[in-house]
Amino acid sequence: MRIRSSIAFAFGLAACGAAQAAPQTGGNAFNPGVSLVLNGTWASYPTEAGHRQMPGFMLGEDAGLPPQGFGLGESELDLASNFDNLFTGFGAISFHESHGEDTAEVELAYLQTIAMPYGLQMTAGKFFSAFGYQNARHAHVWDFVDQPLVYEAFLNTQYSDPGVQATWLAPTDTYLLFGAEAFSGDHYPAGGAGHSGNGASSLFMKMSQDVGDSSTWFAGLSYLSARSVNRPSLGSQDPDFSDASQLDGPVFTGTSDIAGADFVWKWAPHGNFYEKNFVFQAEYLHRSEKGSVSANPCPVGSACTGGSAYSGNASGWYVQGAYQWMPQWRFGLRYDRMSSDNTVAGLYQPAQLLGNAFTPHRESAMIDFSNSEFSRIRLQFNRDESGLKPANEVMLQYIVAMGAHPAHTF
Amino acid sequence: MKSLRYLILALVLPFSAPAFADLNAFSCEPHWTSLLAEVGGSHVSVTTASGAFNDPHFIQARPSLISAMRKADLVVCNGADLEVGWLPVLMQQGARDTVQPGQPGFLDASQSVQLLQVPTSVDRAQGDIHPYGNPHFQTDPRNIGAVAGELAKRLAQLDPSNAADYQKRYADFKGRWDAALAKWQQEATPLKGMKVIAYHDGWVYMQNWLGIDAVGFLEPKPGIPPSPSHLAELLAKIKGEGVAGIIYTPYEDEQAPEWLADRGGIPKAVIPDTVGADNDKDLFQFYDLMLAQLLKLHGGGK
Repeated sequence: MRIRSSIAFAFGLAACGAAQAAPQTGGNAFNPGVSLVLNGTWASYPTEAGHRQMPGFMLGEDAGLPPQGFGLGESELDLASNFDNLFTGFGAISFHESHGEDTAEVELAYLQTIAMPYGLQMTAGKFFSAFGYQNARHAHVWDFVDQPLVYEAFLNTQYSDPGVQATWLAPTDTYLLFGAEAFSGDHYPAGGAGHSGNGASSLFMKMSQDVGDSSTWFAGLSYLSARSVNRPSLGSQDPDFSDASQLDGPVFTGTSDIAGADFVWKWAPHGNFYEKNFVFQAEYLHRSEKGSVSANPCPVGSACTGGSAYSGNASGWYVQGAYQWMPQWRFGLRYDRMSSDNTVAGLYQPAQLLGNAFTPHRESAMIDFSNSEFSRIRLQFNRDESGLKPANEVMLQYIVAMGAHPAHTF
Repeated sequence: MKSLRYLILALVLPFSAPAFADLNAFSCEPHWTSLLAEVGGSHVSVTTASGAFNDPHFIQARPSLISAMRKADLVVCNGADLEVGWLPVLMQQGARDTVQPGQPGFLDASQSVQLLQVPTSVDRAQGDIHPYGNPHFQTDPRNIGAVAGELAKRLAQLDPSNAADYQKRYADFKGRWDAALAKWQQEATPLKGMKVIAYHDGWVYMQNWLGIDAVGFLEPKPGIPPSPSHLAELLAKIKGEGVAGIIYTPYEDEQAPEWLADRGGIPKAVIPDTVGADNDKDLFQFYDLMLAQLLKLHGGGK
């Protein structure tokens, strides 16, 4: 409800601006930039792979593969505009279709200052956390169809929540950005908006330099602390859909602390990205979780019967590269690996947390073709050993964008 | 250990670099960097976002450019949506209030020139077209002259203590520029009526200036790379229409121009569309180079 009202507020403001301005143009000149991004998939894999299970990990509901066969992936309607001379804003309604069910949700709705002094910037609303490198990247600019395994397992593919962010950009030639965020903590890896609705917070720093006129490196350190009150997780296979899981796994109450380091190197001869480029990207994430797990949600504020004490250390990393060897054509390779070390003390011993000797891993290869900046078709192959049964996965994807010209962050 | 020392040096050096200039400028393209040097002289220190070997449509929003934007007192860009794929990100993340569009610190050069090829309707099926008109107007040096006056005004407004000097430098530049224009006009006389095939439809201002006729483009639609069937059509055109040669920029792939020039038996020439592709150090040398390349093409590539 809170989210819905904030976006309505945001759009209301934008509409006001449009109505007041320039009557001779009929008000259209001040309409926000509108774009529609469509993302569709076709996927083939054994049903066990779709029923996502990663021994050692309690997964959030978004972890997993696109549906078998045809699917409408994360498509979104974006609106972007300056509200006035102080604020700019962005709204994204995302919609996707899964097993005959259409869902639409407010993916992003935030306003951001553009005129604060001393390199300060504030963001408020619902937005992707600046944790890590891959977290804040929209699905249509990913280099692969799916997120790295560690993002699926630790961040439910991408962490966003209502909250605020403050950043400070240092007045140096080297790009040096420091930031902090506070979130409600409604979404995985948080849950239940604990701590009176201030359930998650983060700290991050990012830096970057150009090397000659052909290369740029970018590195970041991040820390995310999330509280959970009865956070659900994926469990048994969904009887209605053979390739999906139900949200009936262990329920977690406690804290998750995630630290991450990321590194990106982009290369293009003389900075001419259009002709040829190479992007290298790697991240390492470590998580420690402490609390209790139970089969059913526990009443808030009282001792939980039938639960077990749980503490776990887990880490995951991926390394990937995408090479555009000629205009329009790219190929990419990615390697993912995870490990976990959990201690569960009590009678309740969920299968999800018994995987200390297991190391989920995956190899991926993709090739994509972009007819223009506005359309891309991709073929991807995964050798997925994140579950107990290794699987071969083939995915075909299209991403098209219409409307306002997309401008992408680094 | 050694690499750690370099890392520390790399981090500390930018902090310690003293700023001698009175104004920090952010230039989207090298021709504005050169113009800033002409009019602003040593009062202005400039960061340039792109180079002669970059397609200005596709510049990465590099974080170093965000840092430059944060410190900028003046931003100078072609405008007309040429930089729409990257400049808005820099503007937003640099978050500098005094250089946002509409502020004196943002000089949209397209506002000072008459844009050509303004479409009456826009549809992306026509390719990556620009709704405000063709933004590659720096290929006509008369447009540089038109922007120079506005630039002098902005510099004086942002840095009043040096206003007299900017005015003096502008007057000096204007004199030399008008003389150069007359010289170029004379040199370019043989080019009038020359037919060329260009890679991208980015030369309309140069065509207009020199009376050159672009009869075809290697890109079937703006932003869409050449296809074999389209090249075959162009080949037929070369045979039928007496095309003098093929022109393309340093940042465009030379395979297609080479193929077409070979098959058509006509010369090709790299024509830079901004300063710095060769030994050209400033705007004067850039247009000298452009004309020299075109005259060479006109002479059969020799």
